[in-house]
Amino acid sequence: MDLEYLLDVTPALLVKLPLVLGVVVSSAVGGFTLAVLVTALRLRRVPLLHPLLEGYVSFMRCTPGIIHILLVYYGLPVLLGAFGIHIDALSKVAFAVITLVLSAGAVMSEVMRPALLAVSPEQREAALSVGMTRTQTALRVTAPQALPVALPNLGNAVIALLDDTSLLFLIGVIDLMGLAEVLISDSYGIHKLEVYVAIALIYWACTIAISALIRRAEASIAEYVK
Amino acid sequence: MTFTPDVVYETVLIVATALPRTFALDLVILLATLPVATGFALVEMKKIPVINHALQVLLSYQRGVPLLVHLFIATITVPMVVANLARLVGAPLERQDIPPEAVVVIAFTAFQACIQSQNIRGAFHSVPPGQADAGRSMGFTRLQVVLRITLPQAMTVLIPTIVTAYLRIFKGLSLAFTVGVVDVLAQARLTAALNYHYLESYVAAALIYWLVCLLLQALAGHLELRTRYVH
Repeated sequence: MDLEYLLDVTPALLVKLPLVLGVVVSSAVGGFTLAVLVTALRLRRVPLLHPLLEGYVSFMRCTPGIIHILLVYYGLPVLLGAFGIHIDALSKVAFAVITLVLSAGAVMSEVMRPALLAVSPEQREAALSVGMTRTQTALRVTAPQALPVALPNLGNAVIALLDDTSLLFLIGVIDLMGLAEVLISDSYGIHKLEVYVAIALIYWACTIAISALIRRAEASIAEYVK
Repeated sequence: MTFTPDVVYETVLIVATALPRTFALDLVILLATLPVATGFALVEMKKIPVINHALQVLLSYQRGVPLLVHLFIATITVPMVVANLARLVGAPLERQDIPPEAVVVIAFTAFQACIQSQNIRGAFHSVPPGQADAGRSMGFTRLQVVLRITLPQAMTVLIPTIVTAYLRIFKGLSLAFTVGVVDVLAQARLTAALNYHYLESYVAAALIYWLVCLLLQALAGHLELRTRYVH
């Protein structure tokens, strides 16, 4: 292994780090929002919608990430085209974010549901009995108690999103892995190992940083709950 | 692009032919994972100095890097290392002779062992220490304590995680097409290359993954209920 090349190629790859982290953050925020919506509807057991949502969560959790990205990239334009909506002009990064929002939404919903069910129903009843509205009850009583339970696994879901960004180059997104292919063909394949080791080190550093952030959030929330 | 539902049905049947060899490869990886993961768990539980520190770095690295990156690094390094070792013992083995399946087995085993070792550790921690103490006080040897008291109780926690590990490897093998191993997804892509129905093939592959996953989840749930009787 050529260490000098490894040191040269790492900064070149880091140029793509903002894109990767941008995709992770926007998918995490979008996925969290979707998960809140899906979980609220799942807990209410709305007829007709309920089996659909259960199917969505089960499908996303049961199929590999690579299938999600291929289905969204090739399938979503066809599906929406049938309803007269044309999204062919969307960028590949947009398809990537849509995919990751859909997959994080399912994973995070599966984390939130038991966390919400862990809050005893008396808590809600007590809040409602003192005259809080449903929204107030959810925001001020249920959510603050469920969040500490859900947080470690929500963090794992964010790290899973980071892992999934390694698949986006398969639809042609030029992120870390996409740039790697370009760099490798530029060097006629002789520096393949160095490029992938550099990528591994970048991902490793990102995972450590995200885990540290989550632990800090957990610590500060634990204090707040006391 | 269009979507023809009939093609999905035909493709499901073709793609399903990849299931036996995907299951077999999955089983080989699982069987290789278990002893390695047990070894890792022992090093962690006994807190063996130096080795445990090195293991912690390995665990952090394996869990911090996407499986696909591990796979790409393994396709370069594994044939290199194996060919060099073969040269040392004088065996005529070249890099090209190493099949991609061997690379996949090694990369997946390293990755999965790091995850499974945590489950094994968790399973042993779930047995109250009083159980082993009671065994010792009855005059059981250490080996007897492990085989007759700790292990049977840890199994109730462990068995569902083994099914989950099998499932996770099965899903992970969808990445193996990037290095030339023909699993479910690769079979779908090969079929699509002949009839140009890519979307239908991906839907067919997705349905197969979903079905297998539901069956394995049901199996895990069933085993969990059965092993509970032990308590």
